[in-house]
Amino acid sequence: MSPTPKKTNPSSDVILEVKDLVQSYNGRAVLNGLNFKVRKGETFVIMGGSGCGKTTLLRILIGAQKPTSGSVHLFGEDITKASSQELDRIRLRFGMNFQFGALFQSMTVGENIALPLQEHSQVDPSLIEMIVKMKLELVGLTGFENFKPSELSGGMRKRVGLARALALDPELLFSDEPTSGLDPVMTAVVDQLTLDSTRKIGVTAVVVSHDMTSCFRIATHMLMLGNGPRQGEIIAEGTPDEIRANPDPFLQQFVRGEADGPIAFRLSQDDYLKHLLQEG
Amino acid sequence: MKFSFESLLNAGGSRLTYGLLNLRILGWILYGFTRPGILVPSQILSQVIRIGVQAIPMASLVSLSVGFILAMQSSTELGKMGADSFIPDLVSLSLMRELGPLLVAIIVVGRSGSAVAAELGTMKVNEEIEALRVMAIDPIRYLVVPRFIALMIMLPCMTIFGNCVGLVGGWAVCTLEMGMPSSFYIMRAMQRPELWDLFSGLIKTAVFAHIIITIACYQGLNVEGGAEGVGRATTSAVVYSILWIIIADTILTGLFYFVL
Amino acid sequence: MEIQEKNEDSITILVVAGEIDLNQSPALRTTLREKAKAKTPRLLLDFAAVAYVDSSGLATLIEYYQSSKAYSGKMAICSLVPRVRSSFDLVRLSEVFSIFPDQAEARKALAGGSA
Repeated sequence: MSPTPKKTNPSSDVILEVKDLVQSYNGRAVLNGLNFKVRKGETFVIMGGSGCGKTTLLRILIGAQKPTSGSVHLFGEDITKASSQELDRIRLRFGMNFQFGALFQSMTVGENIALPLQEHSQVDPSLIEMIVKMKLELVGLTGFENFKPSELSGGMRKRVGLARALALDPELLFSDEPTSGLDPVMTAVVDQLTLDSTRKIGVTAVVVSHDMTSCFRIATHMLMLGNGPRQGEIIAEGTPDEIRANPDPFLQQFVRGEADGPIAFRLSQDDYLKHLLQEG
Repeated sequence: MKFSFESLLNAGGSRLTYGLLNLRILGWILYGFTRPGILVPSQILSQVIRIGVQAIPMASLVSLSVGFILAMQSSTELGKMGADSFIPDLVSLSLMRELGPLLVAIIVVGRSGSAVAAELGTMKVNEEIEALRVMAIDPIRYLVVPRFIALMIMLPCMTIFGNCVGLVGGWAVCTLEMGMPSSFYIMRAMQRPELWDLFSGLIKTAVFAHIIITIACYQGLNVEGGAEGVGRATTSAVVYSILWIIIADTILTGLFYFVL
Repeated sequence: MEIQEKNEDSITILVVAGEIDLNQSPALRTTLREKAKAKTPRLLLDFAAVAYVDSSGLATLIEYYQSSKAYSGKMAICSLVPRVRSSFDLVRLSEVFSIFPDQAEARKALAGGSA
């Protein structure tokens, strides 16, 4: 859990490095040769439309799925080749915030957050109880320790999931759509937490999101994945300012949230009529 | 500890076949004996209560009914031959060797095997299993092993208890209906069976427990496709468990009959 | 993590150096529990050389704070680096602990009784 010693060598600042990553299902490439690096302290936001392979990418990054080819180096170790024990060791250094929380339904909120601490540390139960309270305060859920996940709203569950991901004070936090389904106030709370953890404590965050407001608020580096004809490619990468200034029509349509543009949301009119009238 | 049981824990990578599941359970249990903190008594105890103790009323009711049935059925036929006095023998032998283990196992399949499959399946669907893995907590160790140990302990206990209840059922029919003296019933029922009769039943029970819990966990952990998948897995767990219990019963009975 | 102890003007000063994380906080806890047992009247934790404190470290401090209150002992923390200070701020512990920018001020406060 101890953060790596600070070195001046810039290459050691790379926490996550993805090389030539390909993932295909039945010959169809969902991710097509991705290359990128995440440096220590960055808030790296991965954007992209539905079906662009964001979730697949995240699953590969956390070692839940082996890619078809390519490598993923986390903390300098290739997790695509790591044994289960090695992977478990690496997993203690990062936290994962699942899209729907993935809370253990049979446990209370407090037990959910306490579980990683009970399993992986020698910390005394009375201290774990305090840590649980601190983590709940972070996500604005003080006093909810004894609730069952089924008694909470979807947004609250997500925030408990975030608290659980932070339980071991990881160096790296993966978040899958941390703000989708949250109201604007809670979105701001979660964004502020990401900002505080990254800017002040030095946590690195990799966030998958398509909430543009929240993306631009937290990101120090952004990456846009394409879908449709540009499936599985990186369309653009850079700082938020570079992304805003990038003229790529595909990217601009996404950032501005426009219905018309290169991202085809429907078949062309002719195709539709043909389909409807069952001609040819 | 260089050869460690650890090699067993992750045999086969991320795939989980039925054989690998068994191997990993074995690995974790052996590993657990060498290290504290892996086999957690409180977790095992809570499973003992959930999948064992809570199934006792149902198992008792079934055993009691079987006791009644055995006594009533045999009294008609044995009565014709004037062999009434053999009814207690028959009740106690059939319960110990065969019906006690089999029926209690089938009750536990329906009550606890299905519950385990559904519970693990739901956890799989909710990404809870994934979450455990990402937290570097092995789902086999954390979820399967406590249930496995709990059932391996509880099924034999429940079977012995069920046998006793079944004997009471037989006693009720013999004394109240046929006017047999209680002392005679108890003497016959207790003296006739040998220790081996009980043991052979318990060996079967251990095998049944293994079948029930591994099939339930295997089906649960391999659920695909949402709530519908959970339903399918639960059904499969029950059907396959019963199927394999009866096949195993046949094989074991044959083994005891021909070999021993 | 290393802990050096000195006693000056009836103030017990613990100079902590290193990172207080899950692996190290038990050692800090052992030390602090001894201090609580001995009912140390004035305790100053000098965190100048502490680069990082995680939640278990914070919880350890809270535990001492609670036990010191029971015998009305005083406790102060000084010289937090910005990153550590943020860890305290984030869970609003700066509202609980007496935190001072440097040792001199902390000692003045502890001696004067305003901590």
